[in-house]
Amino acid sequence: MNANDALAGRFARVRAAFHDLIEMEYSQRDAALAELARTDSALADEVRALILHTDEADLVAQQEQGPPLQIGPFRLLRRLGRGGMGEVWLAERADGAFAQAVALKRVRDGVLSPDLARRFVRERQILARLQHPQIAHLVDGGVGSDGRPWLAMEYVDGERIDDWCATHRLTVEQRVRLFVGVCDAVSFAHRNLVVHRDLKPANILVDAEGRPRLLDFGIARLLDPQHTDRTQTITAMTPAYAAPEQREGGDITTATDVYQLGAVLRELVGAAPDGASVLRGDLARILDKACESLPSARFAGVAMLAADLGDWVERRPLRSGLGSRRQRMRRMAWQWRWPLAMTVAVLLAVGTGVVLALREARAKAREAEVSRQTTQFMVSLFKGADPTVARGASLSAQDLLDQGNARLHGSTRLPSAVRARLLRTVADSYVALGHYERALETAQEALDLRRAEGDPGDIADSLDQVGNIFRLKAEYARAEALLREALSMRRAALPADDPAIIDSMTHLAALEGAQGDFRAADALFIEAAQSARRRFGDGAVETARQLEGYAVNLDDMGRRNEALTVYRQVLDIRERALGPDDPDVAATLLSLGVHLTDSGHYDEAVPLLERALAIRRAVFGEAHPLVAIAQIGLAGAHADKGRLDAAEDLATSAVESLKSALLPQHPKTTEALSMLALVRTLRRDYVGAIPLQRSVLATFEGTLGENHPDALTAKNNLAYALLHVGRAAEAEILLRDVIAHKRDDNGQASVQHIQNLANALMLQGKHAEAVTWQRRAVDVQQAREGPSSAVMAVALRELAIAKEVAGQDPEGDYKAALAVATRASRSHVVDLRPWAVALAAYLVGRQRCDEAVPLLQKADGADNANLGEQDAVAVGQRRLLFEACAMVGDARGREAFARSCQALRAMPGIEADVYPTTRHLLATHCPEQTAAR
Amino acid sequence: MSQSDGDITQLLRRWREGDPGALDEALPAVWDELRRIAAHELRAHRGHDTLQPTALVNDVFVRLLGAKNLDIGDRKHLYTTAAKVMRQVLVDRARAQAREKRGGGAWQRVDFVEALALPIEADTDIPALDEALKALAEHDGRVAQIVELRFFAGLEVSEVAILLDLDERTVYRDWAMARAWLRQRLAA
Repeated sequence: MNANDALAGRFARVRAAFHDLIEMEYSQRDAALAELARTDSALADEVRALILHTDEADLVAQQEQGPPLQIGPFRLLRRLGRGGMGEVWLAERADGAFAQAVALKRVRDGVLSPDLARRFVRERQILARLQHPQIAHLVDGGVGSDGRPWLAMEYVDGERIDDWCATHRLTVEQRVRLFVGVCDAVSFAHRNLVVHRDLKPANILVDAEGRPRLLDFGIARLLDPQHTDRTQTITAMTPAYAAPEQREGGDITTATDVYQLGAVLRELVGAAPDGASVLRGDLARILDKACESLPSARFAGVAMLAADLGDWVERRPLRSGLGSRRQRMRRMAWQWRWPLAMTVAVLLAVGTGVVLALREARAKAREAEVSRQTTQFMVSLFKGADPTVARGASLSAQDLLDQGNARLHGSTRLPSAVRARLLRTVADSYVALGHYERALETAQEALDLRRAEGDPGDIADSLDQVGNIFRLKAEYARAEALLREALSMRRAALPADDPAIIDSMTHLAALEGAQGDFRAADALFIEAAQSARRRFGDGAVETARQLEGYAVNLDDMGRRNEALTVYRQVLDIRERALGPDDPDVAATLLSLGVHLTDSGHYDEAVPLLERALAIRRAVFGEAHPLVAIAQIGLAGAHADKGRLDAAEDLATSAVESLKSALLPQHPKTTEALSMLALVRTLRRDYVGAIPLQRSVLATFEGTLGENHPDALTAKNNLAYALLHVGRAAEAEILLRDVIAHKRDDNGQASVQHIQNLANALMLQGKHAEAVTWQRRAVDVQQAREGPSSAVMAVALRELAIAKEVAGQDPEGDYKAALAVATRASRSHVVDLRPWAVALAAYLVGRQRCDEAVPLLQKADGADNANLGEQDAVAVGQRRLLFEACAMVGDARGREAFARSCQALRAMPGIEADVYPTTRHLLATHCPEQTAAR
Repeated sequence: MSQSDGDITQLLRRWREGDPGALDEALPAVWDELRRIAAHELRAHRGHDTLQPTALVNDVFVRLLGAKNLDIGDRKHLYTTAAKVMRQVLVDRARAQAREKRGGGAWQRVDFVEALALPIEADTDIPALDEALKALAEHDGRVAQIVELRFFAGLEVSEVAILLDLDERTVYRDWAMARAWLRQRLAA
């Protein structure tokens, strides 16, 4: 028996069963299906599904006699359509009392019993009162002489919403905007206790003014012959948009409409030209929530759905708290504040995508210092840990915790106040281990116990703890409620300036900062610092602690000079009070060092970071996680400076020690891995970077979520590395994803991500598209910082390259790029060589060596400046181009040229980084690689 | 393309004389003719009556062929072939409309499908239906043929039953089942 026969045989059995069952009464079918299921449950399922999808009207002869010319007071004009339930006619008042076009609906076969007919009349009166400009209202209705009910609806001259969106080529955002109007109308109906329950594109028209108009509100129920709120028939719904409860015969509620709205919007968005990319991220979360199969898990009402959609469109945080946009806004804010201080390494790299991420990874080292509490617990947890037994320490620490926790959990002998205090401590330890889930469970148990005990101080303490854990998990809405409750309890119970109140304010400030509201955070930090000053004095370490949080927030706000002043102040207080070798001094040195690195002051930063590292080594021992964190900070500084060997050594060591000290999925371990991957990328060790980057991505996606900014950054970095090993197609997919989601944040993907994508396209020969994206990068940068930033100089140069490769005239852009770079170099550390060489490369390619050579000679002078290893590409290209021009056929010239070829070719992934002429020379003019390789 | 009545008549003659390819060749022109009549009828009787596609097809053939009655063998071949051609015409039109739509051109839904009162619901995705029908035919050619004759030649269940020599009730059940099957598939 071949496959086709098997298929047909199977279908024959389904058909036979269907034929039997369809002739039975409803009541007998279930029993028959159950019987069938006993022998072949798959068969029974198939038949059940078919019966569910059967229109019973298909089983009887259609009444094909022409319809009456007039129904009620209406004259039928022409048939508008025929669907599962009946027919729709365009009709007008026959008595000419007033001109009104209506859409008149007749049920196909339903003949109502007198009882149901009365109910029909009563309910249509309710519908008739449903007056909303965007709802086609019920004009009239009745039961015809043939016993078939009819309804006259306001006739809407419009186009189906899906067709309208297609003809007007609406973007996702425009579609969502339009759809919010649909939701508003549905919400109005719900407030009037009318559920639509058959929402689908055919029932949503857009009129000539572009307003969405809803048809058939409440009609599905009205025309349902069973006339019940449970769906036992399938005639009154459209399977494609049916909610699970409709398919399964459950209760129909407003949640059913929420589901259908979600299903329709998903289709509209998916069909948008930019749809595929947006159907992830926050909008996807909204749609998923609307279409949850459990009605209670959906939005509590259409208004909430509309609110979230409105927020999404306006790029506000979602009111429902779905998604992580608030966090992303914070990320973007601090990604934005540095472009002016772009460092040499950024501007030297032809492909720039990786350096921004380096900055992020480094800033983690500073962030780590913010959570003072975590630090303290790490200290206590690992205090005195013998480096030789450190491997596996976290496991034993966790085993102890788990055991202790289990014992606490079951214990009834301990007084609950004591149990709560111990649980609280265990929870803090879990936080230190990066085990937020377990920390949360434990802390919440402590909170419950303390609430039962009723001591306000203890309750506030637990509220504060649980709130902080939620903050770490980026569940900000919940965190905020708890932290605020803790603060107000403490304010009510304690004297002003009590340390507990100060703590509460600091935690709330950190939360505001995490959500991107730096101003609110600023106010709270100032208040906390002032309280601390009053309570402890200007020079107290407690005051310094508050000031440190304040400084980090200033950094986040981009008020860098003020931040620097405060960091120095904190350092001063701590050095005076605690001596030069205290761990708190080390923490400040680390923050300060990272800050200085970000401003490009390596020479100042490196000694501070080295000192921080030395203090921690002395105090905690080599294997301690805090040592590793300091190593990450120092590695970042070295990487920026181009000291890649030193950077890799430090990063490797940090990874090793964090891996043995902490759980593999601990955020700090992943951050260290990310730094190591970045350093390897900068070294052009792409083969070594890719697996690390993949594991970083997988961990971030697993622990933070797919669209978390850290995960997206990791994705960008992975794509960048892939670009350099000839896997541009793979990189393209990743980068499109990154751009789509970063765009969720603020309407603009970062310039670097766009440039990476354009490069990926160019390397695949998609030249025109590459130009388009490079142009977009220029536009984005223009909107961000205006026409004359250093980043703009990069963007213009990349545009020129893309144009050249695409066969367009790039000369103006090369020159504009050089001019912008020259202007930027007046206020920043900018090495002009990449722009000069880029223009020169173009000129060489056009056989204009006389113009190119002076540029190349000028760039030669800069080669001697020590600008790190990153510029090897620029140096190599400059030489190659120069020799290409100088070569007049003599042997020495050819030899020198060949050497330059080899120098460039020795660099892995060089094709992705060189100018078009260089690439051409490498491919066609360089001698075949010889045994030298 | 403009094929005169004479050519079509010629082709249909050849078909009746045993050249099966001739009908396939003639049908596109026949459907053009049908559409013209339908459009005319629609203007004349706006809002009054729907056209009976069966009658219409008959009329056209009678007119072109000059024969009063077709025997059942001829009719079976005629309708099944006509349904196939109609199906193809509709698929092509839907695709062309989709292209226009993407190009931003205006698009009118009202067309001769409506005028012919084919029992295809207004918002059906015809190319998708076509694909689904192909899949159905792999399971059961007979059931797919019933759908084709109903949808695309506009035949009533009773007419299908006579044409295919089946029990009428069986055709009803097959029709209902095929529709359920298609609904399920098209909703997926």
